[in-house]
Amino acid sequence: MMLEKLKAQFGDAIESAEEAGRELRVQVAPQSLVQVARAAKDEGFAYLADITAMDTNDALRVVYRLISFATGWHLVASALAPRAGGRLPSLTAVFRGAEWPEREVYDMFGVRFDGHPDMRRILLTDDWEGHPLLKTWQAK
Amino acid sequence: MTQRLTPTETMVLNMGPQHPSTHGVLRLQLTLDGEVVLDCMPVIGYLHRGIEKIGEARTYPQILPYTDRLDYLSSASNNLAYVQAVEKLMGVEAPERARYLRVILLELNRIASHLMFVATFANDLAATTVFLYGLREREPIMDLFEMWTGARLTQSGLRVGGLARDIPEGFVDKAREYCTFLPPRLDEYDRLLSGNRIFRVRTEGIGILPPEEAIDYGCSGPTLRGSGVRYDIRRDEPYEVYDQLEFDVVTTSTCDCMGRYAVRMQEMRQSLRIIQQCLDRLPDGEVIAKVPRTIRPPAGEAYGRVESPRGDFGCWVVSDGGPQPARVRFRTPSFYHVAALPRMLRGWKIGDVVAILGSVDIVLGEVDR
Amino acid sequence: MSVGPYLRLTAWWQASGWPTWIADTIWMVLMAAIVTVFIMVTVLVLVWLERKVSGDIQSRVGPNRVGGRFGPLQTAADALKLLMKEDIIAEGTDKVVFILAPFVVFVPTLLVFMVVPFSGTWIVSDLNLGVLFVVAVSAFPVVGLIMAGWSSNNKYAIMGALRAAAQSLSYEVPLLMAMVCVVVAAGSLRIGDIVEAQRGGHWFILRFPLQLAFVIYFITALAEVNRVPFDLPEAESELVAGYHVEYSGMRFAFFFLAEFAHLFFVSAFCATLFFGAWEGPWLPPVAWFLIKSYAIVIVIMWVRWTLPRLRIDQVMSFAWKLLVPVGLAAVMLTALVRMQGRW
Repeated sequence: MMLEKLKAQFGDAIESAEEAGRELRVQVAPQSLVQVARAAKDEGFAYLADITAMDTNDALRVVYRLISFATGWHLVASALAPRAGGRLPSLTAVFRGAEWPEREVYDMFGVRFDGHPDMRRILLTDDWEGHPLLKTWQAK
Repeated sequence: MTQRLTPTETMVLNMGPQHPSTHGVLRLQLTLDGEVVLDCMPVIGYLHRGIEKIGEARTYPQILPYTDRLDYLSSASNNLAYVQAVEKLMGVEAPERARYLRVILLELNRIASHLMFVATFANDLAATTVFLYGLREREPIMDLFEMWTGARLTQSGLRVGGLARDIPEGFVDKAREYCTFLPPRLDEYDRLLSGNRIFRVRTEGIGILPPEEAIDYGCSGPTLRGSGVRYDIRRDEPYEVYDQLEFDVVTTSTCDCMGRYAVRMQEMRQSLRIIQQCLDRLPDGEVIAKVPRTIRPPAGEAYGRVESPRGDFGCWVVSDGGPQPARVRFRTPSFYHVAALPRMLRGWKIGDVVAILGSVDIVLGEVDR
Repeated sequence: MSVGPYLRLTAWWQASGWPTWIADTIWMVLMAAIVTVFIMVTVLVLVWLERKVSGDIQSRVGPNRVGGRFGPLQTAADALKLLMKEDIIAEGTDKVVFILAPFVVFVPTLLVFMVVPFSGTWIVSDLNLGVLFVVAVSAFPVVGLIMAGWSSNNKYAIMGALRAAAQSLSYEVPLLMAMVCVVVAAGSLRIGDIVEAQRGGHWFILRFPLQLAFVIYFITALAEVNRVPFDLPEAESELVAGYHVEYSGMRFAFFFLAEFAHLFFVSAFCATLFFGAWEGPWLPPVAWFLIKSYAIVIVIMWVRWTLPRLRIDQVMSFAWKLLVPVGLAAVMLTALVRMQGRW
């Protein structure tokens, strides 16, 4: 039901949607991420559990997991970004808890988030070169 | 506000990474005006070991000992989140005996972790004696772990499909003994601390985190429940046999350090309750399901979620069909709690920094991974 | 000092024709040496005692290897270790002040033992202004703390020093008031008179309203010696080591020695002011004095290992908003009772 709502509201921006267990998995167009997040938050998905990413060898898939305390459902939204020079809008305006995981995604994958108040590395040293969780990264 | 007659400068003070009270290698860059914290910038990564990257080059069973070392004070919850994800991918369910034993292991870990919290929290506030008492009460639990899994702290007691080993002879009796041994001591320490005027003055009303902000920051566990939000994964997204057990979800509405401390004290008592119920109902049977020798989950992704002593511990595993995962991600509660620290510290004094940081109970192993 | 031996010595001296100032000088040096040795030994014992008492409270053993089953030589071993450590003076410190600071802290704590009555005749110098002397001299070490904190070129040290200054200043006032109560009760600033006024078992602690003065004195003494719950200047878990964070080896040992010497002094002084000093049946007076002092020391240690620590603004507000009014009330009450000749 939530999926129908999202599809109705955002149409093309929702590139795919399916239910798996108690997860609603959607793929979202990058430019609509903030609006989808806001809509989800209004629908009760007020808890941002995680923002992470994965290198699928074709592209980087940035994954957002929102949880609704009331229903117990997870909304897992993915957005694709190119493996180099990727940019996505930041969710920090919607969720205060997005700030640090987005920094980690940048640190590990190189995806920058527009609108982020403090876009710099978080776990690795500031002068580190490269983004380790990419499949192409070589340890020296 | 009084008017400033003489201009003063703000001072930047580094707490950490080596500091007796930052509970690990955490660096807090505090901007101070005298004793008042104007801003705080946490710097992390001193304990980053690249476990997620390592996970991509290890087989599924090999990753398990790495998970122990994330939140090293409560390794069973880390193990379980990972194992749950893999079991979901494989479509395997642990036998009932294993599930009860897993709950016992988890709750013992919770008690051990909370005792460590009480000990270090009291130590930060200079009630040094409670530090030693807390660690002393933890020793019987360590003995139980050693008896069962061979290790005191990083047990790796779980396996995909169940447990590594069944409990040995005498475990049940020793565990029951502990359940009667601990409550009077908890009462004593509670009186020693929360009955003490100085302790109360250092923790009541300090470090307020309003509930909406707590949720917005992604806080979970006692940090969230200390702010009045009644959310516990064991109750709201039950796993193992929690849906068949009776226990209370403890919350306080004070949103301060005392609240978070009180939640953990009560949670220990609830954990003892859970353990006793499990010991009573423990069925016979196998402790591990039939699982192939080489674990190759079919392609797909799964998320395991556990209520660790620190909060919402999640593990996202993506499989490409091979013996090694394509991605292993650990969503750790302390990461988000450290992110929320600036909000909790702003406006308080240096002495409060230690109290607030202690009350949030972070473990750097899971912040940095 | 002990009038008897002194007179005999000077008599003998004059008889042999030497000038008296030499005798006086030798006497002073001798007294200084004896007192210093006594303090050193006491500090060694106190450190050992602290570790044993804390071990007992925390259900563990404490030192149990060095010098036998009870580890009595542990402190000596630690002192030896500190002596052998590298003397690090960090860059950017104000060297002169840095080196002087331990002495400014240590010397007054030795000096103040001049007026401590170990027994009826064993008091180095029974000054007419005994209590005033004590207050003046024991306020001095704070200057040394501030010197140490400032010269260390370290933010933690400065914070510790500032806290020490604030705390010491705030607690001097109620400390003074507690002592004034005793002075009013005894009618004199002289330590000998204060002890004399308690002879025959009429210790001040037993006389109303001096119990109030005792409580105030005990609390402010804890604050003066920087012990929990007032140990903020060196709050281990907040400021690492506070004002002496940059000190190592023997210089650090000086601070440590000074702290324990001061601790013994406030306990001894408490025994003098409230518990009749060296008075007691059938044991020699010195023994009673030491017993009472050590009993108070043990209570102070007990408090340290039980209570948490206060935050600095709480320390200050406790001093100014509670202790000072109560202290004033105690002084007035004591004066009233004394005037009515109740004792």
